[in-house]
Amino acid sequence: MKKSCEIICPIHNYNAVIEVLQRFRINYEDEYSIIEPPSTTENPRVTALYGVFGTLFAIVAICLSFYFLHWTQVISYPINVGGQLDFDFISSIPIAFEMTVLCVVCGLFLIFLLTNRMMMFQRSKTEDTRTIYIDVIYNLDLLRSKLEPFGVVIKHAKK
Amino acid sequence: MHEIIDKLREKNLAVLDGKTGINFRLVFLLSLILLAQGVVSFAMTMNQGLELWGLDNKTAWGITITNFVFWIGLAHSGTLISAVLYIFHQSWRNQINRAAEAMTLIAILCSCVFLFVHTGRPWLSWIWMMPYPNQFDLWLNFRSPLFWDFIAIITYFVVSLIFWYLGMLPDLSYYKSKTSSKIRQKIYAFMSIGWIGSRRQWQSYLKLYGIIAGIATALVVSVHSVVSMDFALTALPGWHSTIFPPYFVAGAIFSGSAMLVILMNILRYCFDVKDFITINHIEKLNKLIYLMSWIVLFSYIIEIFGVFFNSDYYEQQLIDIKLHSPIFWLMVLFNCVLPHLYMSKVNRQSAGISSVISIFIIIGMWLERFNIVIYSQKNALIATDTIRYTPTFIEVSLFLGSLGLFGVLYMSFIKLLPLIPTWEVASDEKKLRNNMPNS
Repeated sequence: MKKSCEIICPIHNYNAVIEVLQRFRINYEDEYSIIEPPSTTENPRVTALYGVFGTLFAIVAICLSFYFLHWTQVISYPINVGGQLDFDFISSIPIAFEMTVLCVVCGLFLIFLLTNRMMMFQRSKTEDTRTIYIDVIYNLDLLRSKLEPFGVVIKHAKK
Repeated sequence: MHEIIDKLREKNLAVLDGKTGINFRLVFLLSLILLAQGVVSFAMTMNQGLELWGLDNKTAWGITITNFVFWIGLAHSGTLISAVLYIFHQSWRNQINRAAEAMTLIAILCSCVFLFVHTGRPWLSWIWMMPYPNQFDLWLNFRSPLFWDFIAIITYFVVSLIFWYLGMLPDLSYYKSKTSSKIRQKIYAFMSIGWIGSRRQWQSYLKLYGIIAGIATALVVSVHSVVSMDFALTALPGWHSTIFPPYFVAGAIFSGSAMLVILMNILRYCFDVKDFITINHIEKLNKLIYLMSWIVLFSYIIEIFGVFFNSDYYEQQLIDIKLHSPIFWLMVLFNCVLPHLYMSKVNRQSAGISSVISIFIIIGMWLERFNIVIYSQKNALIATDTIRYTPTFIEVSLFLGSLGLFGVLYMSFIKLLPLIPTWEVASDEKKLRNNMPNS
């Protein structure tokens, strides 16, 4: 597999911020751990993913909440006072709302973990770019010497 | 830019790995003493029952519920400040959001102490609170606001926890290799799970963070509204009021911001983080407090106006009693008069003055909850009944114990986890973003 590294933007004369086409996992070993988000953070696919799953979780949670409340108060143990059942749609709204919010947040968090291969049973995916911050004098030789142990090849650099 | 981030990293590591100063030790010791005496009172209550409290037939909810509402109120400001300011791209939140969110989580835990202890038998609470049919197959009353409250608080705690944890994820990944403590390294490695900071992860991460921030904002409003319904949905004079939900939400933001000012000032002096938590942060929080004091004052006026407008005899009688009570006027003094000192920029920018005013606001907001919870029970319906509720030493001791619990947990958080968010400060730098082309 080809391993490459592209220097995108040295911003100071003594620092370099580089974006690496990451075909390897070095975060547990390297000392240049990433801390900054990349410049482009918008991704329509991510937005669509969370939008679709968030809506799905919300619909399922609302339906289940109302069904559960109806079932407990009308089917499982019906309390009939003066000819009226205990179930009331309006008074079920607070619980249904809270349960919906809870399900959506927990569900999206799980989706985040799963799609980014962060669960313990998932193998990490290595073909991805990442931003790393390297505290070196703008010196390609030094940078190369620091990154070569990880199999990185610097192929392009610009000021 | 990177000098600032390097300095921030060094400061975080110094707080985590460095020796604790005398100020920290004093605050921690004081908290520990308060917690210890609270534990003794808790044990005595469990041993001898709720007879140790000053409750009677009319005053079934003593200051325990006052304390519960007080802590829940404090819990609301942290997530609100963090989430709302994130949505509106207010960069000054970056330095204080983690400390504020930690305040939220710990305050919820403190409130839960009262939720469980007031049942008298906390080890059976789960049977009474969880949606679980009893031996007669009878379910809980889902139409009760008390149950809504329970669900709302659980939801709020879980959402706040996820929001807080998510915000910490990149920093945990970074500091796991930087901190000198082996135990902390293992904890961070476990907590940072599979975070590698790839572009794919960042895209997903920032999107989810924004979504949860939006949901948390709505949740803050809904949760304290539900807490207010514990009172507003009863028929008791003084409680049965439609002004309660916005009134409670405004009060929660007010008291929570005041607590945050106190905590920020303690952090500034205990850990020497004045370069990051600046006087500018304190001033902005003070401006928020001043705004909320006006809303709280407006709520007080509307509450009184509503009573005289609807011509309810019992409500009027209760308001009359409240207006002749020193507690009411102390509350007005602390919550509505003292914050006017913030009209002066000098006061807003003074750590000492803002801390003192915030302490008085906290006291004032506790008195407000006392005024709401106790007066209606004590005086409503039978005004000639002269039963007087006075909190016992055990009840007061439990409240002090909760303050101790808050202090111990908060100080532990500071020593265990990175205090100031690094990635958010880094991402705030517009130049950095603008200079980085899309690869």
